[in-house]
Amino acid sequence: MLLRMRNIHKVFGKVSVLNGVDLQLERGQLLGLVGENGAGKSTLMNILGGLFVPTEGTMTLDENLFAPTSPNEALQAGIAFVHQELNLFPNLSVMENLFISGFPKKRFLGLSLIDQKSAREKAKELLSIVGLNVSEKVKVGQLTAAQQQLLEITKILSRSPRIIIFDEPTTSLTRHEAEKLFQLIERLQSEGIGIIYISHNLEDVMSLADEIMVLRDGNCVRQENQNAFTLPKLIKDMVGRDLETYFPQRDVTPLREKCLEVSQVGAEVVHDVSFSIRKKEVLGLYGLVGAGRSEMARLLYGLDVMQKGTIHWNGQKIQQPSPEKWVQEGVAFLTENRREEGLMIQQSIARNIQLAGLPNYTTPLQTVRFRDLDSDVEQQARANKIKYNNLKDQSVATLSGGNQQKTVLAKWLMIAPKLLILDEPTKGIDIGARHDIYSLVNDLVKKGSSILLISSEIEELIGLCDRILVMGEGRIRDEFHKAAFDRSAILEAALHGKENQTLAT
Amino acid sequence: MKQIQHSGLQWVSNNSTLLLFAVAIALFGILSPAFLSFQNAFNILVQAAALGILATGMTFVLLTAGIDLSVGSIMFLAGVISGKMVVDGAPLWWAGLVVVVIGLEFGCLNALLIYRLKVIPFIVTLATFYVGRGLGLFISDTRAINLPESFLTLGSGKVLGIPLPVILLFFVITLAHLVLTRTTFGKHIYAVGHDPEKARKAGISVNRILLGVYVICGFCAALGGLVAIAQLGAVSPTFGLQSEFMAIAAAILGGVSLFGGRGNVFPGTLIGVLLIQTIQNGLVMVNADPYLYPLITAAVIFLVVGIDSLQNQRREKAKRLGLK
Amino acid sequence: MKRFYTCQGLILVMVVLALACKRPKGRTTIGISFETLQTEYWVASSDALKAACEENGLDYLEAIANGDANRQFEQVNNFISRGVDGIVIAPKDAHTVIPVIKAANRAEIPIVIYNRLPAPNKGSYTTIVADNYEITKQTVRYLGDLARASGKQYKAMILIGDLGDTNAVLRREGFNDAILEYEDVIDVVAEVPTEWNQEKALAGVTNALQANPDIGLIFSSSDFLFPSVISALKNAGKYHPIGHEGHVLLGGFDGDAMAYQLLRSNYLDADGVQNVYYECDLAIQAILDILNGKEVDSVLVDPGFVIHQENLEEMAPKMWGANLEVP
Repeated sequence: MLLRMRNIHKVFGKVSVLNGVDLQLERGQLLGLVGENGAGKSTLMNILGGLFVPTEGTMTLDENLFAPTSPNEALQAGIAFVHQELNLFPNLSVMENLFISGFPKKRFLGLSLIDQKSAREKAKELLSIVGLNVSEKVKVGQLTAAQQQLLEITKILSRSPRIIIFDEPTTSLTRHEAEKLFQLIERLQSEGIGIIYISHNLEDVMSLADEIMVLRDGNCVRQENQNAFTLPKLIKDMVGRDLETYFPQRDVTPLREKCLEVSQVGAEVVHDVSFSIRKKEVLGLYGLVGAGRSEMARLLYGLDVMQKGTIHWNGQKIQQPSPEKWVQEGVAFLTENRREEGLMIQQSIARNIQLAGLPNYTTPLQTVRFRDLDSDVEQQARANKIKYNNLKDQSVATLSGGNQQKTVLAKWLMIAPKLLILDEPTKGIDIGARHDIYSLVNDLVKKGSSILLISSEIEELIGLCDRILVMGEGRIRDEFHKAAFDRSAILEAALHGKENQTLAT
Repeated sequence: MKQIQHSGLQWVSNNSTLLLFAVAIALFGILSPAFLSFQNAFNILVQAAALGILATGMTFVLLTAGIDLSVGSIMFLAGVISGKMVVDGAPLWWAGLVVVVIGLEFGCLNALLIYRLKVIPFIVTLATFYVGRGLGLFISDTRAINLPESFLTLGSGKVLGIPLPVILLFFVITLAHLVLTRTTFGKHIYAVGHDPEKARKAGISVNRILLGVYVICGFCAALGGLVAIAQLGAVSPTFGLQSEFMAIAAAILGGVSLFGGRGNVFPGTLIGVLLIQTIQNGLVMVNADPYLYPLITAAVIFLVVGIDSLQNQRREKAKRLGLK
Repeated sequence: MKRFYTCQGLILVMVVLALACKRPKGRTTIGISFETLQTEYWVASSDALKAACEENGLDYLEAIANGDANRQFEQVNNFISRGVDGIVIAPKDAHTVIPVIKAANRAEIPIVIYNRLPAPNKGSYTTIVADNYEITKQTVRYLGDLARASGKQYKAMILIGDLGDTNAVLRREGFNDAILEYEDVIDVVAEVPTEWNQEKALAGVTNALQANPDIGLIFSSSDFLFPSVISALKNAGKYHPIGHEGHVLLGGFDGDAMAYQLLRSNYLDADGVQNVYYECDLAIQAILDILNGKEVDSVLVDPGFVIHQENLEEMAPKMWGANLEVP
């Protein structure tokens, strides 16, 4: 047994992320690790990689006790990571990147210089092993994403690893490039290297893996031989849980009238997207990371430049959308990274909530009716159930993620938006706060607003939406109506949908 | 066809400083025949020596996405102390050694404050800027120090017909080029400049690299100061004022990025320095209106930095598309 | 008991503070504020002002703003609250001095602006300035006469200062207007901007000499640029004393120690001198006059003088640079 992790627990503060996970890996074996976002995959791997120390549990490597306290220690023991974000320096050459942690040296006039000749030869040799056909002199910034990935693997191989962890290695690759990567992985396996492969692409996992482990909510659902799984069964294991009571009921049906119509919108990573939203409708947008959902929303809101397509708002064409115009029209956007884009993090809670609605409290003389404003802000903060000590003096930075999100929501609710775009509103938020946010969404819809909800969590979409669009590779792949919501079907559409299909309603 | 056009444009934007340099030489050459003389070329090189050495040190710092505002003050302090020493009868070599030690000390101080106290380089070096100037003024009583003849002969001395400052400049540039392209330290500077977090993950001691670049910059400042006063023959209380900005401008003109990780000493910074000196020289040669000087310098900086910014935008875009 | 000691301590502190604050009101006190002491000229001025105060039996307070106009304003306010009887200020620039003037007027303390003309304003104040234009003109005239007397044609170069500085601009104008009178013998071929920077001056003079090797007259808008001029002349093999046939006529402005030395060693032909002692006496006298209820003009001009080889012995005692020990 190459690696054994036993009864691994990890608690962050009060939140338990891993609850007693076991993992086994044999020499030359490929273990597929699957689970939803937030299931605990990365925490588990970071424990293996020495970044975190487990709260409880033990690991053995080749039957020897293994307890790394730093990434470097894990690296020394032969555990290598291929992260989604590569650790390469685009401003340096291929050869320089390969040896950045240790160049071959020679002495010249008392100076310790890089031995260019032997470095170049070694680099060529390493590159030929993985079949990366580029000059070692070329700058890494000029390589394609696939070449960069191969280079990262090459770098790892020069340190003779025993276990390689791949985290979503194919997201930036074309199919053809991915196939080449798989061949390389097979070769590594045949050399006795153990591989842990993390991916949302379940088909890849099914075809590559010897064994598959499913994580859900920090628990190991099961680790079994690949033969024991079928794709639908795997999906059910990943998402299967009863969540009906989790989502507050809403008894409003969308009106026939459309408020937003988007047709043939496109830019760099979004292609010909068309859809519409009705009044009092909650439209969900699902897709894997990198499917182009956030990018589409940013285009729509004018945060990035739209290259083609048209947008109609209540029947009127919007020329060159910009956040300023949308706020005037009563359309608000909660971006994915609330800390950077949604909040003035050092300012008080009240200041943050005031911001969007301020023009409504301005008299013709450009003074602000502070008494009205203050009371409305307080009312909104209470309605949103923000937990605070002092509305006016406490900075937003001191709030928890959930309360920060409620603050951003409060800011936009002050202008009673006609359409609210929510991008991952519950990311990193605990269950109680989620429930509050869901209730707020329902209240808004009752009052006549429409919602565009972007989320990576199928349950959330199923629980809240009237309709769900599934995106992949920058296109809309499929559409589901409330009556026909089916977790497996939605996930399947996102993973390998009917490509090139556009839908307009 | 479109491809060729595109790559042509790209070549222009990649070598904008070199092109401007060529244009400047051609233009001044036409306007003033004396400009193209061999002697004048040497003059430009001699005048570029101090700034060139300064800018070389600055390039190291800029490559790590840092900045060093204290170089002018180091120059001044080093000049004052060495001047006082030589006037009091100390031998030249001893004064030179002290100057170099002052430069190294200031570099160490800058680096230590930056990584120990985690204060940004701008603020740290602004503080040491005042320290250096204040000490210099204190020691010199705000009086000009006239240096003995021996100093001047050092500044105008020649070896094999080549002025000493020029030899020193090329020695410094060659060494810096070697360090940046042929040593582990050099490569680590680029890595740290691109992303210190990634560099740390790659097992690079970021602090050691920072210490290295600020020490090099301090050393170059002291050396550049020495070269300058050996030509001037005097140290006035305003000596070295704004030299840091000239050095930064030269490096930026030479294609060194303020955001770190991009640029080189040769040919980059050297071309930037020569461009600045050539323009200054040419304007005097054609006896241009004195009010034009700052305008032309500003125009050149705008042009080159504008082109750099366009390039940067293109790179960013390419990167976004490439990684998605 | 403890409280008793605390009370005693507090009373003691208050007594000490009161004593410290209560200055003997017997002698008249002048507040002297300098923008900076970063040039020899300012240092000499500050020394001369203090000497003038002592001569007249006055006390003085001194503050240096290190180039910060804001700090200078605060320092003057401190003077006012400490109850000085008069203020002499060498201001940062023509505009930031206006609030200072207003503050002094409000406190009804006479204020003298030293060496820089303030921008037009309604306050009441007295300005002491050297006549930059006229002194330069006289200096250049002296050089022009020398040129004409030699019977040769001259090519001339001027080193000009920072064009944001009124003094630099006035000196340039004085030079140009004087040269107009000598068009027949002098042709200006180079104007070298120095931004008051020695390195730029060295490069500029070197380059101008490269372009026009036969330059025979150089005027420097400030004496502190002479090291650069001399270094460039030496490199071009053109540095010769007066009387040598290759001598380049040299003129300067300020009257510092370097210029005095050059005059003594027969290299410098003429130097326009600001009469620091006269200006400082004027400043202190103006304050005393105002305090005694006399009318004082709003601008007092120092006509300065030109020092040259012929009047060197006579004028040297008035030249501030001659009285500094040479470092």
